[in-house]
Amino acid sequence: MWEQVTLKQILLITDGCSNMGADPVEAAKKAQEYGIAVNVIGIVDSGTLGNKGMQEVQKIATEGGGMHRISEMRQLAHTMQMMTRYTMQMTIQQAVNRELQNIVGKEMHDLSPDKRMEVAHMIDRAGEEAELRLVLLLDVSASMRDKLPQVREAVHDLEIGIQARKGGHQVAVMIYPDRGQSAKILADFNEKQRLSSISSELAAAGGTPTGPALYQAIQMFGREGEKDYGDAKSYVV
Amino acid sequence: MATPRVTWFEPKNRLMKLMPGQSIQGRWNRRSYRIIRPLGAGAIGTVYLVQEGDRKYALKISPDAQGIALEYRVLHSLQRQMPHTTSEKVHGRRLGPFVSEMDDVSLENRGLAFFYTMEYVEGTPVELFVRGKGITSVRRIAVQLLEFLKQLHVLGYAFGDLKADNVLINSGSGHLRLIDFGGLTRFGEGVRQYTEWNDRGYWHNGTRRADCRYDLFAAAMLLAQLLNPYVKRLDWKNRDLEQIKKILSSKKETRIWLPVLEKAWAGGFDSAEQMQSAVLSLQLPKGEKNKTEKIQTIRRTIDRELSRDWDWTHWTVIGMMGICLTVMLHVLMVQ
Ligand SMILES: Nc1ncnc2c1ncn2[C@@H]1O[C@H](COP(=O)(O)OP(=O)(O)OP(=O)(O)O)[C@@H](O)[C@H]1O
Repeated sequence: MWEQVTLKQILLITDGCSNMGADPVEAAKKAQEYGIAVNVIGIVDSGTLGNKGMQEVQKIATEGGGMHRISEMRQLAHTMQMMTRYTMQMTIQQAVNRELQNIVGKEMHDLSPDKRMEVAHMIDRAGEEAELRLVLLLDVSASMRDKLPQVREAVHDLEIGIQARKGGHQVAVMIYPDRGQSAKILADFNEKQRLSSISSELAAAGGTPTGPALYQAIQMFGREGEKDYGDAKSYVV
Repeated sequence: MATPRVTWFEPKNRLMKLMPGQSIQGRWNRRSYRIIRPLGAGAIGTVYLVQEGDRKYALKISPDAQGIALEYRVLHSLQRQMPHTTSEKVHGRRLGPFVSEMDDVSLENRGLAFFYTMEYVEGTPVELFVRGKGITSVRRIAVQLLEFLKQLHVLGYAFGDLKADNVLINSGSGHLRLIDFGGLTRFGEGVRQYTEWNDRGYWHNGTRRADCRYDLFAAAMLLAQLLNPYVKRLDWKNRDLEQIKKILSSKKETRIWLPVLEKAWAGGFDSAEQMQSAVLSLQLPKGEKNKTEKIQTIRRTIDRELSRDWDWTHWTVIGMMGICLTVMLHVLMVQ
């Protein structure tokens, strides 16, 4: 039954603080309202992230109902993979908790160890079998540029992980800024990814419009019409 | 040498700090454990050596209810499934640490923490062990490891996160045990937890979907690391196994292993058993068996002989020995 559940995520990878346009934290809040979890990885190697950036990373993820990690470039691949997996489980867990609350007025924590074990197993199965729809949002502003080969490698690695799952998946890739504006779609859902073009289509502009880019990422899901964050919920019971 | 890795519950994990002497009591089963000392920390939680009455356990505790429950479940179900397989234990040892119970505890100011208790596995991390004993010890390790994998694969699971940290060797007996079953994955599903160095997908050598070859690849990476720890210190981020091959082929005692490793990397073994026989038939250079091993072999032969039913061969041997003794005594007396 879990094959019918779709989990939606945006994974934002950035190494700086936003400095243009709408507030990314507000954008993340909006995403969460649409049932999209926003994960953020802040890259520290180049050091442009700073304290302010780290705080922003955390706030975006918190409001977006996702996770955040500060990571070095060489850990990026593993971080992306684990984060995606854990967030799927977390989203399902939240849905299950809501449902438990509705039916028996309890949360998972209130279940006896035996029952909890079975619920945990069900959540794990769901994470394996549910459909995943993921938008990768990559910050390619100036400071990220020399890290792009590694980013490409990491994205490739994430794909290996996602492909290994039983459940279906659709991944879209977006980069920002796009000629000083917000984001550009490199590959739409279901499109074969053109990861190699990440480096060639680099924008010259130096701004970091994280907020507008996030709004655009949300639209990727929106264009498909639905706003169905209740769907995980309706299959639990 | 251990590669730093992302710790998932890092921010909260630190809060799971418990003090030696402190006791925690489970909310459900009311069993109470006294903390002796920390054993280690990992991606999911912190592991403590604890005591209940006069029994010692390893207790894994974490704010992650899901992670703890899953791991407990998997160890528990292994425990139940084992008796149905042909060889229940490897030389009397269990596949995973024996798990006892799962519970949770409300910690002051820190909310609920989830834990399970398991058998305390005493042992030295395998890399340290090999550094002390020399690489001649690697063969025995490989054979034992593959024996465990064989059993696990029969049950339809891959170990997943097979890495040096998760392999302990009892320094007295030389027995090998696996810990941390968080990566255990049913064949055909996406591997739950992995470590890049040991991950087939990372090295562009296949998928991250669990099958027996996934573990054999990881085992080969582990063996390479044991044979020459330097291979891991290389800049392996360019994901090229050739570099490793080059280093291992520079010395005779490691070169011999290459055919086995390469075959495992290429997914050439159909089962852990096949790889195990390949390891057993390696022609390791002379002097490979050290003295204690030789003595042990002799002792084992004698034991085996003695436990057999006595027949004329035994009496002949004893008779011959008697004659020899008499002759020797005679010679001595004459002198
Ligand atoms: N049963 C046990 N007996 C003795 N020591 C143990 C036992 N289980 C775990 N440990 C010790 O605790 C450390 C952390 O445990 P474990 O690897 O299970 O945690 P984890 O959170 O799953 O970590 P990771 O996946 O990062 O390895 C181990 O490296 C080991 O040193």
